[in-house]
Amino acid sequence: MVNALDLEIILMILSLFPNKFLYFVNNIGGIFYTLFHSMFKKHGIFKKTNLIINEVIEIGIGSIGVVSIASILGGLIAVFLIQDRLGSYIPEYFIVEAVAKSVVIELGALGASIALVGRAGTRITAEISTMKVSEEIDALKTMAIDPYDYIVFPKMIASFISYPILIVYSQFLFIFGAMIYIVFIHGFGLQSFLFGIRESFNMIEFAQSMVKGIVFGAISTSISCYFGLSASKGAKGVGEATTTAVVYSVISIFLADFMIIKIFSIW
Amino acid sequence: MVIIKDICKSFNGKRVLNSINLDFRDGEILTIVGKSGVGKSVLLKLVVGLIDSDSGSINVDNILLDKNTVYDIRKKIGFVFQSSALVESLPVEENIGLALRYIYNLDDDTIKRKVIEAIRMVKLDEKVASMYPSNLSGGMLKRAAIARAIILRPKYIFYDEPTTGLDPIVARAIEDLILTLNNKLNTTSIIVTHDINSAVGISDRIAMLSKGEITFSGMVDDFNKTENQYVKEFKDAYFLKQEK
Ligand SMILES: Nc1ncnc2c1ncn2[C@@H]1O[C@H](COP(=O)(O)OP(=O)(O)O)[C@@H](O)[C@H]1O
Ligand SMILES: [Mg+2]
Repeated sequence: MVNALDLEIILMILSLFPNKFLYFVNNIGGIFYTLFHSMFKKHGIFKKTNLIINEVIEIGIGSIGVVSIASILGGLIAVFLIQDRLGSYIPEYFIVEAVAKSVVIELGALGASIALVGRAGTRITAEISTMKVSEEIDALKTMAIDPYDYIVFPKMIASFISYPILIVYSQFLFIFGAMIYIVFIHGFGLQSFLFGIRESFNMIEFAQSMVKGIVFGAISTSISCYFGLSASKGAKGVGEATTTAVVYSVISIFLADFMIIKIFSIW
Repeated sequence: MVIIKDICKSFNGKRVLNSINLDFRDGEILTIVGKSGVGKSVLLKLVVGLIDSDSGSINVDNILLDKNTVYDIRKKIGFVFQSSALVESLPVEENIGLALRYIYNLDDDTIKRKVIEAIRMVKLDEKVASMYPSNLSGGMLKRAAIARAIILRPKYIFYDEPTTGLDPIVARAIEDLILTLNNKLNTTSIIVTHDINSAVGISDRIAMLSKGEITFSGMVDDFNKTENQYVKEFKDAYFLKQEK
């Protein structure tokens, strides 16, 4: 826990940068507003089905490539590191179990989400900020169309669908990458590999990764939309918005990851 | 009728509009002229609630503009942006039909019919319907933007610099279109421009915005004859630039 002295020091440091701090607080407020305002409104979800499908195609299917490559390589690296360091001390199925557990608990969700921030989050911010800069957002408003409803909402729903699915997919490919290394390159038996995977599986841990998927999707998409909608005029605004959104997304995802792990560890 | 009362607006401490009082009267074509950067666009955007004023009030048909009424007021007003501002990712027909689809939940056939009607009304080729905005010329974009603005048959249409950046022939054609629509649809048209010729050619009434205030307002004849110092300066600067 943070004690009084720590808090004082933190506040002292923050007071050295009052504008930056205010800007930060303002952004956090804006991000939450974006999330809640887009989700808790009168919606015709059915008349937006095609918008949502389009977004699932953009966010989900569009990110399959990068998630695949990142996950297979991630699996190779993870199993290689563990095998290389611990291979001579512990049984092979245990290496597999260690990899599989870390994949399901942590690496799949984090790896896929970071890849999604890079592929889908940036696209969302760039798209929305370009619309903002070219007055398309204002034009929607003058037609009485609420951009939170028409633009943000379908993207949020699409992320709630895409993130968990891509995380499961990523977990499979992580393990597939691990299998490539450990079975085909290192020559461990396929039987003991599969045994290790089965041994390691735990429903609560899997549920945890799904919770992460939904939370990370909500974080990344509301941040990406918020910075897109608040982009400043000019072509420079688009670049700045995208960079800031990526920084906020990555940091927030790591923070949320930590909190979710803490909450599940109480169980 | 739109009644703008004592509206003030500053950006970053810089006063742009300083106590604006102005009416938009039913059925008229009112042109607001003024040098670039005086706040003409800001004034139009204030009325549709895209920008919030610092003080003063705006009434549209006896409805006070505020957070709760802004969407109702927007339904009464069609807005044609200077940049046309069509949604780049949607074809022209989708752009024109957006509000029909998402605000009024009409079915595809009705939308299609109304969109084609609007396209004809602004004298666009029907082939344009399926094209994307990035493939249209400046004049076609403007017509598409006007079609989108009239689709809900608004009582008011705001045009922000409708002829700026267009070549003179296209610009005259757009002016004709504004006149025609004003008569056919029985709308009130508010035009913002720095082009005096265009203002004098099509307006019933002209208001001049300078230094954050309405420094002149009157019928076109008055505008032509007035000894008002701001209007004279503006005309001199304009015609000097024209001669060059
Ligand atoms: N959103 C905004 N933020 C800050 N300043 C603005 C904004 N919109 C307009 N301004 C400033 O207000 C002044 C008037 O702008 P504008 O209404 O666009 O002029 P114009 O009469 O050419 O349409 C300009 O100085 C512009 O920089
Ligand atoms: Mg302007």
